Amino acid sequence: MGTSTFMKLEIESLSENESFARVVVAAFAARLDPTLEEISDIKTAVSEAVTNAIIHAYEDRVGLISVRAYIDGNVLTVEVEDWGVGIEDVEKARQPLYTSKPELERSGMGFTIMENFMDKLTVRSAPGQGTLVTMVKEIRSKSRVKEY
Amino acid sequence: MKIEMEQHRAVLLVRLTGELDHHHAEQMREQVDREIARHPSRAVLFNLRGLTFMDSSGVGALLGRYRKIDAAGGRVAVCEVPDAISRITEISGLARIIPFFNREADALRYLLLGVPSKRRL
Repeated sequence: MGTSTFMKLEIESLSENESFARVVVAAFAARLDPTLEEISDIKTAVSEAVTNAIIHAYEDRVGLISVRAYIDGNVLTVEVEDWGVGIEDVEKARQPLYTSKPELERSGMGFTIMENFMDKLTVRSAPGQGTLVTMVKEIRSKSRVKEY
Repeated sequence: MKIEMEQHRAVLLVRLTGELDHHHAEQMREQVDREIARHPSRAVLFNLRGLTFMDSSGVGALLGRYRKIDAAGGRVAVCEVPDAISRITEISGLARIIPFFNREADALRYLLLGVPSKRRL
């Protein structure tokens, strides 16, 4: 089949790029014919990962964020990678309501949202080197239900 | 994102349209805080009908306004949450902290008269 199964987007860590990144991934995922709710879940999860990279990974400087997405059957995998400060304690960062920046009114729910809105979340990080967030979601397509 | 504010008796009514993410949350925070500083209101109502997207940054900004106003002895409510963002308001716990109303009139009644909400648990 001549169907595209991979995309890669590189953006600067500027907040105006948050909507750009989530819309691009949602458009890529659209070929799996997701429901409106699934599209909304994907956009929200991508937004959380990209926002984390902008706020935490690069803090006061502008760096590069790589957003990649793969389609395998009806499974969407999204990777968001940065080369910023990294996370000292990933387990602690993933706790609901934990935030390293309470003064910024962060809700501390970013990773919790990614976990809830996608099927699987893995976070690989090394202090001083960066962070790779991988999220997987199976699309239970509307049309597929009709076909069988 | 569009932020419209109007004073309805003692209530500052804030209508949000568009996408409440990290980028736009800062703008919302600044504008609402400036308005509250200019006309100290005893209550603020966020009408979310026009929102097409919200992530945890939006939740943080709404919670931040709630904490600030609550600490000053005021009240905050949210109304007309669209389907597109109902899941994040549930999972983030926002709907358990700030009183939610389906109808704007009910939210205004709660804020002005203290009529208890059908608080979603």
